[in-house]
Amino acid sequence: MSTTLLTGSEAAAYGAKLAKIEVIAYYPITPAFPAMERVSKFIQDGELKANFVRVESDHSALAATLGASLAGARAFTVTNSQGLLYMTEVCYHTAGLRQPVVMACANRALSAPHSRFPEQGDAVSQGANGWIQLFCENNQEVLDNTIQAFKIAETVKLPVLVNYEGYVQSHTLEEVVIPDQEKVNAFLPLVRFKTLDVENPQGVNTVTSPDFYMDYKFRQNEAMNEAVKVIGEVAETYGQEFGRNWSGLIETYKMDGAEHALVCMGSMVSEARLAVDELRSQGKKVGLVKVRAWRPFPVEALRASLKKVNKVTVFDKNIVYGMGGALGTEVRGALYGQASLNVNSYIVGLGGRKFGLNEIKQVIELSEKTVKQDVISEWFGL
Amino acid sequence: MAKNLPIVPTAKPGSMAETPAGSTWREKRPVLMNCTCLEVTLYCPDGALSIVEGKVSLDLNLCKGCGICANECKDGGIQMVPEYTGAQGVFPVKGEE
Ligand code: SF4
Repeated sequence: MSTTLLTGSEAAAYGAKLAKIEVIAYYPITPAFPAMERVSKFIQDGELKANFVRVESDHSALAATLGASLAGARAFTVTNSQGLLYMTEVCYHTAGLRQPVVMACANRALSAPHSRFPEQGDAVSQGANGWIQLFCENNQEVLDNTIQAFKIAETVKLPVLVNYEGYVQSHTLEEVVIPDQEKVNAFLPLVRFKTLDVENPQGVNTVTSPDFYMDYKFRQNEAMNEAVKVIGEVAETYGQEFGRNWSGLIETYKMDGAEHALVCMGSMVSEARLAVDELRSQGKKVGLVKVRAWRPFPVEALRASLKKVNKVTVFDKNIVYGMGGALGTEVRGALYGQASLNVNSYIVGLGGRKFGLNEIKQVIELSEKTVKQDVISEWFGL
Repeated sequence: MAKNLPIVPTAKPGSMAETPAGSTWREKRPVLMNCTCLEVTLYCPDGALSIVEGKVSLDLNLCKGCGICANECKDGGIQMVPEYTGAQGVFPVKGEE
């Protein structure tokens, strides 16, 4: 075990190295690029024995990663924003073919107009593609979640996207504890899940008739439902082994006796914790629910943790045009008919627009002033 | 109850032929009239034409009815005949029922 200063992208690379990935296929994109740079250095220095596949596009990067996984290798890649969009087709393939691929994603705003700044819109655009999605609040969690992602993926046989915000995390140094390799080996033994076999040739992703397609999709969704339990179990075991339990699908912070709950995911969680601390010290009954797993969506966990509050404020660093923030919409859906409470949701920080501690406190104030009627995805910070 | 299926959607080579989809959407099918040279087997994109005992043989379970074979045969040795007549279903080719 050692402690060092790492950026989020480097933390993802360390996670992949500790998970002993065997194949990485990559196409450069900012701000995820340093993760690939680190992995290639590990390989160059002989610290990691893996095949680095250079490809001509993000689409091919995931396709090569998927191919490696089908051949039984532990495979990993990194991307964000436009790269993730370009991969979309293969994202669906990877999930439908039930491959335990892990991909880190340094969330960045989507074009047009072109932006290189942080936002969660890229991950949200992939909300229906069948990948498990974890959001990390700091760089330590990026490293820990990358290792856990392989465990989850290989247990339920679904790919996992590990999200951390561009720049806010990808290019910010934080103190990160790097666990011992032997301990990670014991936590994550290499289990081969091989589909391609020269001794027993199979057609993969064959044309499937209406007699079977729907049943495959049912099984795939069942795997997602299984992940609801597995994500929590993996976090628990990881916590016991490494001393950091990031909790399962959600984490509640100072929710005891809370009347007003904040709900958000990603790097905003760290700042929301500070806001809660400050307001609590002033005697205000505010708590926080961190959404760690966005897919599968933690419906039951949210219902259980929010049933006693009378107001919920959701921060969405994404916009689903014509509907609002994805998280706000889904939280409202999960809570509908469960209790009489307000779910106020706000669109914040798009394309790198500042959304820090002060802004969080301003939104809380706005939300506190509302009565009865839900605020549905109001834009903050224009 | 959902059917029991392999985790990864896979199938053994040739399983498409067991439930031939092509033969249900085919509008025309080739009839080998006077097929003497073996070259045409190289053009079929679906492997429906092969050489069996020195002669061209057609597997209608694999044929999608594209007509490439008929087009490639410069001697008119292969002809395409209609598979369906409107909504009435399969129209059997004379002598092949
Ligand atoms: S019609 Fe097309 S698919 Fe059928 S045998 Fe001829 S070339 Fe092959």
